[in-house]
Amino acid sequence: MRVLEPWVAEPLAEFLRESSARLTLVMTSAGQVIAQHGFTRSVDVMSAAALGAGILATTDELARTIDEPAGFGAVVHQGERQGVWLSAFDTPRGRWIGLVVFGQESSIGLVRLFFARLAAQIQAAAPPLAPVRDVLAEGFERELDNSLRSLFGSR
Amino acid sequence: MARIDAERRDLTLTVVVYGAPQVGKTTILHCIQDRVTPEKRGPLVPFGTDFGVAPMLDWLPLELGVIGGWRTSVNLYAIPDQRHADATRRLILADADGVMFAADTQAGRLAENVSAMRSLRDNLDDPDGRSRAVPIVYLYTKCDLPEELQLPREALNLELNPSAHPDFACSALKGEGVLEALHGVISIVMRQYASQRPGA
Repeated sequence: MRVLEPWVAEPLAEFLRESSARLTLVMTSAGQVIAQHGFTRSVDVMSAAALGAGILATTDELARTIDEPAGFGAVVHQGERQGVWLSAFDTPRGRWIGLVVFGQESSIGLVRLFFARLAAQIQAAAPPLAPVRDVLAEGFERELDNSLRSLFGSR
Repeated sequence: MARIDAERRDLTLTVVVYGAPQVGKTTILHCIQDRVTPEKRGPLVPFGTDFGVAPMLDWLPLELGVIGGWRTSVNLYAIPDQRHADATRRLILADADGVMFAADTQAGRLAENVSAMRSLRDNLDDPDGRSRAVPIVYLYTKCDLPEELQLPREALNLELNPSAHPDFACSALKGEGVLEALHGVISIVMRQYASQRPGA
């Protein structure tokens, strides 16, 4: 398990223990990864995050198009050997998304039950957000120039 | 819009390569992938290749490093042409901080370029129809073709770029002009972003 926000670790560990999920990804609605368990290659994490965020964004757009203000809740795909659970939840840090891959050792019911608990625990554990200070400080032009030189260094 | 993680001081920008079908958007991303510092980029990821010959979306992540105390990265997307990808197009453009508009310099492709520009403006509008000002640079592609096949840059600007945004002649196959255009759009987006923030 890897977490970028330490306060997510405990609720996520409990979720993994209780639900027996094979893979789990917690991310922002824009696809920025907050925590992951079970992924082996970083590109898999990035692809799964982008695809998961895209699927939920598309589903939300569909709900808006057909005038369904409550949205559709979770998206579940059940395969022969594995299933995927995808659901958004509100946190003090904005809307987050959970992507869970589960196998025959678990079930949709278990994932649903413990995912609701995970979402509630994350909501409760989130520390208050620090106010946004000056976003880009002095030396901006120099640092921008250095960054672009570094990016295009092989030109 | 830029994604900000104030606690971790992460800033992620979205730049979109947009243009008419067959103008070379994916080739432009490949060109950038091949030419930027390898440690500063992720893999080029095509999404949704099962839906047809062309992928639904190409994505290339770039790392700019720390600017003004913020770890800054750019998600570069090539937007699909397919009509069935309208929702994808709108979703990505809704998040765009900057656009690289690729236009084919061949005279016979002018109508498609104009149509693509119109579609870009429509897709940049918010759901209430209000237009969103997004920094844009123009890439006039296939400038390696014989001159007699190409429209002059002035004629292209007259039709497509009346507001005189920066424009770059490029050949994605030869790698000419593409990095200059990317440099241009990132600089404009970052400067605009800095100017909108107190203490910038």
